[in-house]
Amino acid sequence: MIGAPANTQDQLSQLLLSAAFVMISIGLFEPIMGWILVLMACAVVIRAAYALGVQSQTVSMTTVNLLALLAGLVLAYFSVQLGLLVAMVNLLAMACALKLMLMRRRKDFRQLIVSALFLLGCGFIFHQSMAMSGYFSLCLGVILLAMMARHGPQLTLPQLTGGLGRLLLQALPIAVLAFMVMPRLGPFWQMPTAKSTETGLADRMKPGDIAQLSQSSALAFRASFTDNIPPPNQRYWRALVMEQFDGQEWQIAPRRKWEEEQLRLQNKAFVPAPQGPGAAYQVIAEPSYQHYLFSLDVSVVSDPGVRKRVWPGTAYQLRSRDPVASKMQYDLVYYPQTPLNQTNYSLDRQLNLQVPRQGNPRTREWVAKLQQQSTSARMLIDNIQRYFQQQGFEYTLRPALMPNDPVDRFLFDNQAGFCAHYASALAFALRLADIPARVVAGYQGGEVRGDDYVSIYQYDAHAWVEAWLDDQGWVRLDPTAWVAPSRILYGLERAVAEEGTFLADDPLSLARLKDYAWLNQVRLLLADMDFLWSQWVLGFDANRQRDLFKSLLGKLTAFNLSLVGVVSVLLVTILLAVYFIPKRAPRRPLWQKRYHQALALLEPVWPRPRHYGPDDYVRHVNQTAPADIAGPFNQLTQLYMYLAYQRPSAASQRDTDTRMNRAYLRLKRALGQHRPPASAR
Amino acid sequence: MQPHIQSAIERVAQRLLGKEQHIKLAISCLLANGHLLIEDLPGMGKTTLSNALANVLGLDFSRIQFTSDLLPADMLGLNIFDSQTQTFRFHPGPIFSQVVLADEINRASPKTQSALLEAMEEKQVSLDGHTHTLPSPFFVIGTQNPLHQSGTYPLPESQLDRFLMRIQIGYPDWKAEKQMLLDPQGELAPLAAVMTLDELIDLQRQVNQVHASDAILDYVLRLVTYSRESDQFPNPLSPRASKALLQASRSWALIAGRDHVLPEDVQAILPAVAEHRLRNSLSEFSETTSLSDKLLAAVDPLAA
Repeated sequence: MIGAPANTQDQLSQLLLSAAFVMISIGLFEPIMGWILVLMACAVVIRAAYALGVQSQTVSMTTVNLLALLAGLVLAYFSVQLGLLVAMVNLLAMACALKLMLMRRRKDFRQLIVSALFLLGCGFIFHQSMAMSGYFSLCLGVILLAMMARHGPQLTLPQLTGGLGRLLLQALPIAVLAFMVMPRLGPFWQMPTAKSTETGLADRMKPGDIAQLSQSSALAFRASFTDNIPPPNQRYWRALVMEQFDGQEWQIAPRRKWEEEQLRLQNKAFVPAPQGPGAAYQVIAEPSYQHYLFSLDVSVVSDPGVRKRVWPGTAYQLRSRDPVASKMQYDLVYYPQTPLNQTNYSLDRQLNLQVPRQGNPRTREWVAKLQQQSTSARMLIDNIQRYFQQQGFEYTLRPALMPNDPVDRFLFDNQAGFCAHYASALAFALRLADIPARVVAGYQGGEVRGDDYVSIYQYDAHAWVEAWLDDQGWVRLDPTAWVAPSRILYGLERAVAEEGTFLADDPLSLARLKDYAWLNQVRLLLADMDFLWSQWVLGFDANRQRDLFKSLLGKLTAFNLSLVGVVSVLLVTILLAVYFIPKRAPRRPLWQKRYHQALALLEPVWPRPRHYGPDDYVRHVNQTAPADIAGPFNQLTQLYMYLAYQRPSAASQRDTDTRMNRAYLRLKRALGQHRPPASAR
Repeated sequence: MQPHIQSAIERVAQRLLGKEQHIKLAISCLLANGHLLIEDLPGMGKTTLSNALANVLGLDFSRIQFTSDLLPADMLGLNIFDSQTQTFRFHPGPIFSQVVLADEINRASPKTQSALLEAMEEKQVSLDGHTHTLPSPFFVIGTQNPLHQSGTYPLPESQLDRFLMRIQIGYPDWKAEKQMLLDPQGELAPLAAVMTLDELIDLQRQVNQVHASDAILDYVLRLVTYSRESDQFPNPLSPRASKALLQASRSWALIAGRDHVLPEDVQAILPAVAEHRLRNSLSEFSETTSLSDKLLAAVDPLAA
């Protein structure tokens, strides 16, 4: 490794390793800091130039050490704001880059291979999608190829690829088996939550401040149903319930949070008593780095195992115990006929009649007038609905800014907005009229795929109102639907078709190109594949594992489970054995064994030059070893030479075995007496 | 040890003082029915050795001095028109002899070289559609000058391969050379034969009966395989070379008076049998590192 590459094979393996590092650094573009990426690029260029013979001078040890010191200091400075995990990944990448610059010995190469594999493993912390998994597998292939090129010096690249393919194919059944039967452990560390602002719902809603709703075609979650999928106008996915209003902004009531925390501590889950038939479904939530989860009204967490991770809140919403940092899967049962009237009424009422003392005077006036006209809550709601519909309210994704008295401005001046404006205005108006009301944020609708699952994207985010009617409990009111029914029935795209604002921020999104039939096909196909990936690979958790065992074994007893363990360990062992146990060498006869044992005893003391045959060696031993060692060895050698090189008769063979054994024992004893052998060497 | 062989060695050693190892190699080469190539500087005793060998083995001997203008016909013989019988009569050349000393073989043109080597391989000469069988036994002792001397045509690898062994005699030691200077008459008297033709043929037959055990075959195979797998050897050993190694080892074992081959036999003949096969024909013979030594040192005869 010192000087120019010894041969083309070194060159190939070094180039492959460099390529692998380029690929890994692209894959880890997000967590790795820019300057470390630059360092890695430098290392790759140095290594490649060196491997290709463009450059023959290696970087000196001093340079690399200095660089390592400086880089370490800079990294230490940044590590506080990076957090432990990301800092460690950066450290590893940095170390790899420096090592790549200064690869001298065989050992260095192996270290680099192992570090690259570990770095690749870190990549899975940050990306788990099918595409990225495929990409990482490709990286893995290149790394393994580099290793093979190093160890198979006479193979060409196609031969290496073929060999690697064969090995990977052999490893595949073992990997699949291990994937299925290995115990599923929870993650050992908490994911960094820095990404929280990027995706998902915010936990507060201030419609007046938003001039243009940012939209994203990223997936929010998927839901798969065992029975029929409910129609779009029933697919209201509850995520957050906001009960605190200050005249401009809605947020989760602190009191509610506290209340739920208390229940949590007492381990008292709010489980509504279901009515009517239930339908089981399963949700796979994408990482949002938040606690909220999605459910249809009213959903019950039936499985106590799931309840450890998914906590039912007292406003019928679900919360995850940990932030959702990777895809999360949970099973629910949905009872559409259950009224939402089982919560603590006094708390609900107290929270949901709260209005700010001042602000929005025109709305207050208007509501007072409406109250006089209406005799019941139901009638009041009808009146408000009529107002929205008759005044020509518009649904738009480009509302005007409403900094002061936003409800007034929205209701009486602009009369155009999106769901948050409508929900905010309606809830405020209802509270003014002494009807408890709150804003629910979540998702609505979603794209149905096949017969069994719905994909809900970020642009399906929605907000609506719940009002308390004494005879029914909490009732869902969706003012957006009054104004723009197509939003509910056909989704956002149809609702803003004229405006042309659908996914305006996201020009490359495949969802924008739904008009091209084949592109849409591709998009849907990808979505299907990703669904299966999430469900069966990423979502293969302890529950699913148990289900699998159940379907295989029938009943889960301790005996059955241990049977699974034993059988799978056995299977893996057999597979490994088939591939790796060398074809058994024919058994060596005793005389050969004894002679080689004698050699093994003598060689450390009287070293045998590699080319010494038995005759040369015994002469050597005779000259240098004491007689009581040389004697038995002489006999052993004579017998060995007789048996190995002459034509021994079958009859003499049995006799020689015993003589050989005896001579060997004498030799061993003699050696034992001479330890440490004074005459040696 | 066979008494004939022993006395043959002793007699030749009277002519070529202090070179017993080389004489033994030469005799084992002839017993193994192979041709011998002697490579050395002029005046080192190449001719003396071959002459003495032919004498003690009781074989008739002829010598062809190779020059650049030697034609194949000068060596093989030619058909001459006999005016009395009105027919062509074959007039055999000097190659029709039991021991042929092809002196300075690399001075001849490639055409003549290849004619000789063809005769060596086929043990017959084809001329104008008639095949003339060469006498039996038929030994060629080629001598060769180092290549750096002017006016030489190097033998191609394919033809070097035809010689079972190549030996280099080298300078005699002080004592031997002094002995030689003291007795200038010694080399003139012809040596008496020590065996008859039948005895020689019987010895050749015995060589084939020397037992080479499985362990020996494995050792030979490990040696040739190593030469093929390692990149230190420009020309790996061919299957013909492994046959040659085994045959020479047998003959060496017979000279040592054994009826079976030991690894030490293989090691003794390997430099003579393998060196000229491993080396590029164009590389200098005086190169210091010996490829066959490298090969021997790398392969363990006792490997399990």
